[in-house]
Amino acid sequence: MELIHFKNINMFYQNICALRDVNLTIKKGDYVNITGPNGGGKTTLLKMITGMVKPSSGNISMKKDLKIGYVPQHTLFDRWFPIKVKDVAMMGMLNKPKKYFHQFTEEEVKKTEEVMDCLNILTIQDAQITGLSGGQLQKVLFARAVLTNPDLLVLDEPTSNLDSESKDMMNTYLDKISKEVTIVKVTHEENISGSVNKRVYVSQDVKVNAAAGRK
Amino acid sequence: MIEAFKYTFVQNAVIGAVLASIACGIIGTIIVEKKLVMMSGGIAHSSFGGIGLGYYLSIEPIIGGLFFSIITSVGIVQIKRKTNVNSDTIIGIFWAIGMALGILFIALTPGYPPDMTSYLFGDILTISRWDVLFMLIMDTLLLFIISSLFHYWRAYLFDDEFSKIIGIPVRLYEYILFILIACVIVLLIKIVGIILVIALLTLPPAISKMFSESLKKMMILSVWLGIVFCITGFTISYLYDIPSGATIILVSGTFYFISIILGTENAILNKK
Ligand SMILES: Nc1ncnc2c1ncn2[C@@H]1O[C@H](COP(=O)(O)OP(=O)(O)O)[C@@H](O)[C@H]1O
Ligand SMILES: [Mg+2]
Repeated sequence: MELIHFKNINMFYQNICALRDVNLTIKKGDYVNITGPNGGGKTTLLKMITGMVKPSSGNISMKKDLKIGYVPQHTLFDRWFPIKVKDVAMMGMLNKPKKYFHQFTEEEVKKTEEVMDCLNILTIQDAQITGLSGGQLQKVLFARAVLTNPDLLVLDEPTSNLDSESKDMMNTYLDKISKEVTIVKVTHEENISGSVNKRVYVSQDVKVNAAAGRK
Repeated sequence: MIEAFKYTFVQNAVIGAVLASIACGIIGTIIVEKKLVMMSGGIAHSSFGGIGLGYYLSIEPIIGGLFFSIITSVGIVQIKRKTNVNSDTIIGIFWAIGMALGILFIALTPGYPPDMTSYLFGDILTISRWDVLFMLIMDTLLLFIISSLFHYWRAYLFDDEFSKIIGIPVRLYEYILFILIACVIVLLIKIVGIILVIALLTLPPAISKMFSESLKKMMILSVWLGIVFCITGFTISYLYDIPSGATIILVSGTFYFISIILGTENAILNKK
C-alpha cells in the first residue's frame, strides 16, 4: 500500500533551489534510508512529508490520517522551558482525540518508561530538559516520536549526536519496530542496517527517482 | 490601613488586585515562555486608540480599548502569516498607530480634554464593582480554558512544530491565546496602566522561573507573587499617597533584583 507519493516535486527558497524534480514513493513497511550532501535538501524533503513545508511545484499525495512521529534535525524549542524529560516524551501520546482534563493512563506511563528504558534514559526522566546533553536530548525526542505509536516514523539525522553504543541501541530498536512501522531516516552513518530496503540519494544536482518498495 | 478596608473603593482595589494577579500570573507565564513580551507591549499600547475612540463616541473607554487590543492581536498574527515581515516590525507599527489614534480621538472629543493619566499609569482606586465582575468572569474563563486542556497548551507552548504534526490545532490555540492576552491586558490597565502593563506581566514569571521546574508551578508562583506585589504596592501607595501603578511596579522590580541576587545559586542548583 502506498503511503506517500511525491510527483515532480521542486522546492525553491526565494531563488535557492533545495529540491529538483523529486519523484518518490513510500510504501507501507518500507525502511527508507536517505543520504546526500549538506544542503542537499534532505531536511526539506522530510518537512514536506510532515506537512511543515509546501513544495513550490509538483504534487504530493499522502494516505489520509497517517500517524506521524518526527525527530527534527534542529530543535526549534527553547531549552530553558520549564519541563521534565518525561513530560516531553509523553507529549507524543497527545495525538489521540482530544480529552478535557486529560490524564495519562497507567498503561501509557508504563509504555513511556519501557521506551525510555530501551534508550537508557529512564534514569533522567525527572530531570529538566535544560541540562541535557545533545545526545540525551536526541534520545528524548526519539522516545517522543516513538510514543506517538506512529504509522510512519520520520527521522532527521537522529543519531548525529550519539555515541556508538547509543547509535547501536537506537538502530537495534528501529530494526525491531521496522516490521510494524514505516521508517524514513536521513543519516550519514556508514553501516546501513540490513532492514533498510530502500536507499535514496538527495541532492539538487541529481534528479531523485525512487519508487521505494520491498526488495 | 485595616480601617480603610471599610471603604468600598479600597475593598474593590484589594479584590481587584487579587483577581487581576490570577489572570496576570497565568498569562504572564505564557507570554514569557512564548517570547511574546513585545507583542504584549504592542497590544497594550494599541488599546489607547480604542480608549480614545471610547471617549470620542462617549461609550465606556475600556470597551473601546478591548476592541482595539483584540484587533491588534489578531491583526499581528494574520499579517505575520500572510507576509514575510518580521513580527517585531508589525508590532511596532500597531503600537505607534494605536497611540496616535488615541491622541487624535481625544483631541477631536468635544469639550474639556479628559485626564488620561489613570489609563496610562493605572489607578487601582478607580476599580469599580463592574471591573471586579469582569475580572471574575475573565479569571473563571481563563482557568477553565488553560486547565482543561493543560497538556495541549503546554505542548503548543513548548514545541508548536511537533504539536502541529501530531494533530493539535495550533492555529486555533494561537488565536485563542492572543485573544486571551488582549483581554487580560485590558483588565490590567485599571491597575497599572498601559505603559506599565508589560512589567506586571513579566516580572512575576521572570522571578518564579528561577524557582520552578514545571510550567504549572511557574504559573502558580507567579500568581502568588503578583498578589503580594499588588497588595504591598497598593498599601504603600495608600499610606504615602503616591501613584499606585508605579509603586506596584517598583515593588515588583525590587523583588526581582533581590531574587536575582539571592536566587542565582539556588536556580542553578535546581536546574540539574
Ligand atoms: N527556511 C529556509 N529558508 C531559506 N533557505 C533554506 C531554508 N531551509 C533550507 N534552505 C536551503 O535549502 C537547501 C537545502 O537545505 P536542507 O533541506 O536543510 O538540506 P540538508 O538537510 O540536506 O542539509 C540549503 O541550500 C538551505 O540553505
Ligand atoms: Mg538536514
